[in-house]
Amino acid sequence: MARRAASKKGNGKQRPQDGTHHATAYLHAVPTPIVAVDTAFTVTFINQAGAALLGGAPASFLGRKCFELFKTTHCHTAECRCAQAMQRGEAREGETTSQIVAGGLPIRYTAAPLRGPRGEIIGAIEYIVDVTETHRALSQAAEKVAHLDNIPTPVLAVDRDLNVTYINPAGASLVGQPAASLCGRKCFELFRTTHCNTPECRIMQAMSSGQVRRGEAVARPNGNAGTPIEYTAAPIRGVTGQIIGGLEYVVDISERKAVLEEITRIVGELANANLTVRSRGTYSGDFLAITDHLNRGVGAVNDAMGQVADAADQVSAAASQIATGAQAVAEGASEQASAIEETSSSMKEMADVTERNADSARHADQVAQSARATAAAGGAAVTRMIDAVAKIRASSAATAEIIRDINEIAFQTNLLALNAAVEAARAGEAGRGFAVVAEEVRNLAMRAKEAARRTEELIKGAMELADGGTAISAEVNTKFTDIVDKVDKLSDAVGGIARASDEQAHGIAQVNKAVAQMDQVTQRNAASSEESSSAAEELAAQADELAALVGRFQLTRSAPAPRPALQDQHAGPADPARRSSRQSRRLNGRRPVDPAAVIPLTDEENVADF
Amino acid sequence: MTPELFRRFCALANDHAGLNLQRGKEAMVAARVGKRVRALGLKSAAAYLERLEADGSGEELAAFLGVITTSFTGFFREPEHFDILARAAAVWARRRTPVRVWSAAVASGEEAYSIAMTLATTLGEDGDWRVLGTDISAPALAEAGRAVYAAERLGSIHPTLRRQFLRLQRRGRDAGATFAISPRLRRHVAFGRLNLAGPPFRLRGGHDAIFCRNVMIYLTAEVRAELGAELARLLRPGGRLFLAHSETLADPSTELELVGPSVRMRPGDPLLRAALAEGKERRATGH
Repeated sequence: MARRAASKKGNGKQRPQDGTHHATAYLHAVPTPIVAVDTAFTVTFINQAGAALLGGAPASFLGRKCFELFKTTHCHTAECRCAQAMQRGEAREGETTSQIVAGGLPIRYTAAPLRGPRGEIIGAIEYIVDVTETHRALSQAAEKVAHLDNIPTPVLAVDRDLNVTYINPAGASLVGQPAASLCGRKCFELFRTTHCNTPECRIMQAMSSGQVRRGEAVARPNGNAGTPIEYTAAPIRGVTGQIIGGLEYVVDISERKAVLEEITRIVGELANANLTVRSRGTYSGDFLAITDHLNRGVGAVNDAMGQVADAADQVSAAASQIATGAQAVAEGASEQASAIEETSSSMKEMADVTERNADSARHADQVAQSARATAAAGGAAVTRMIDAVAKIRASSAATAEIIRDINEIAFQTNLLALNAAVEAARAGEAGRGFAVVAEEVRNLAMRAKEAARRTEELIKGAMELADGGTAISAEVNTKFTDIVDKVDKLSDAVGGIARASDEQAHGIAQVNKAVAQMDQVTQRNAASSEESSSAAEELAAQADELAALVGRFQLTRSAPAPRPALQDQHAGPADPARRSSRQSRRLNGRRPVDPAAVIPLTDEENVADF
Repeated sequence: MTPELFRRFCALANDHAGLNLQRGKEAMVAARVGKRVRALGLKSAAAYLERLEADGSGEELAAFLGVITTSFTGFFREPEHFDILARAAAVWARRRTPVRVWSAAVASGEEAYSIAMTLATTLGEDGDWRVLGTDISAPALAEAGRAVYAAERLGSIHPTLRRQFLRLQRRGRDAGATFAISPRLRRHVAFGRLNLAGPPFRLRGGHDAIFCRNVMIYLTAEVRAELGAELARLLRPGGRLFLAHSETLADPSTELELVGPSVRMRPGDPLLRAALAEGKERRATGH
């Protein structure tokens, strides 16, 4: 390019080489104005874009003074970058305003020295960029960012080279220097973040991508431990849309960071079932609310868990009490049952005895009745005998009359015999035989008298005996009557025994019924106690499981009585229905109910084979 | 649970299992039905009743009967019965015929294994004896078949028996450990589902002993009488029926003789009776 400019300066006497020709062509194709001058600021080259800016053909401007053409505020001053480039032998860049258009055209131009074959400086080449839009955009942005002065968040704007073009007071205070002294300085020198001068720099990213970028970094403006920041960078565009700089706003996230770390720590501990963890930092605003809520929430869960653990303990204790009680009831039922069994068998024996008694009473009654009949019959016989004896006595009396007749006859016969003997004696001899006969008759009469006397005596004895017999019979009769009376009484007594036995049997039946009822009650009690035992067992298992579940949590158990507010807020865990339903779901999940998988349910075989 | 709902659940339990659920058991029925309600993810007991009544397969009915019955049990409950069983078994050992004992309401199996331990001790682990356990509850039978028990349930087993017949299944803190019944014992024991409310049972009969403990207490009088008669039928002469200590047969016409606390015997085994009398004397003098 320098050679090409030099050749132009040589007024085309030298035939340009191919490379130079090509370079010239390229320079003409560049859309940015490019101008080359010699040490006297005479234009030696101007490309198409430059000529277009001035409003003519490139050839028409050659040989003219550049300051005449461009009329910038730098022209003829020490600010002229071409002069500076030639003077210092290095590229110089600057911004100025050209007067080629009314109102001035803001431009940025970069000048580089052109050297001759021996290295001497023979001129300069500059390229010019129209920065009208850049300036307009920047001024618009400046207007906008002016509002930012009042924002407490640090806000700053930079140009494409990261020179600070604006920083608000909040930003300045973050850096710790007055805002005015910061403009024009490189932003990375001010903030010294962990992103500065790395690909992480969000403002560079925003400017290169044209999109808003946000990031977190640690700013160390004073070289101290640093402040964690979140900064958001947005590209600033010129009128034609090209990116001319970036705007960033910075948020001090040291508190947020701290809160997040704290929350992360707390949540991490919670994930490990540690409910003893609390936030201990002092924060402001929303962060205070968050940590406060978190603390209260964890505290509430901790308290609830503590209460659940206590409840599980209590349930466990209650279950064992129920089990003990049920056991006692079961034992009572067992004792009661054996007592009932004994009572039952005693009652059965008693019933047998009663029945035997009733039988005996019936038999005794029969015997008594039969004795009564016999006694009655005896009485009747005695009565008949008394009649018979009376008749015997009457016959004896009649016989006594006859005996008196015979006695009379014997007396008269004796008299007759005496008379006959007297007559016989008068007859003497002739009557001797007759005397013998009379004697014999007298003897017979004496014998008859004697027989009659003895018979009379016998009859008298018989009559006396008959009288005695009558008396005895009467006595016997009285005795028999007595026996009948007594047998009647006996019969009544036996009847009473029989009736009592019946009543007893009835009573025994009632006792049996009562015992059967007692038996039923006992068995119902046994069933209830068994059911209680079963329920207690299940309850204990569930309480254990609950305790194990709660036991996975690390709790602060020194907590005093829970705050009422907490209880109100967290009625949930105390709700027994919800708790039990959760509990049971878990339990059901734990216990697989597939008997077939465990034992072959070949019921029929197992059972029928037995 | 509304009274009507309660009544219908009770009616189902009564129709199918002969359960005698009276007023006052509302809370219990609600709690037990609740298990199924939650297991099926239903909204209410009423919804469950609908499901139950609509279930044609009978599976849900079985599940219902499983939860509505009480499966409370333990090893060597009412231990006197096992002493009596041991004495009887000593007599059976001389008989040299297979010994069969039926645990009619075995629940989660503890009773069957208690019987098995008793018989194994008397008749030998390789003796010719078998134990059948039946129950109405399939989940309970599943536990019985698993034959794994928490350590805390094993306290009532004599340490000697524990050492002989239990194997550590899982180590655990405190009560967390579990033990399994030894395979040598388990092979003598079989389980099957049986509803005691539906006699006659398809069993061969001639059992040496039937344990039917804590069943009668739940049944209505009619079902109880039928069951008592059926159990008596299935015993061989001299066979023993073990009821729970609080239970009675409540059947004055039964031919079974009371030979011990809630132990009845079908007449016809003088040898056994003599042995029992001997045992009784020993017990009497022992005290």
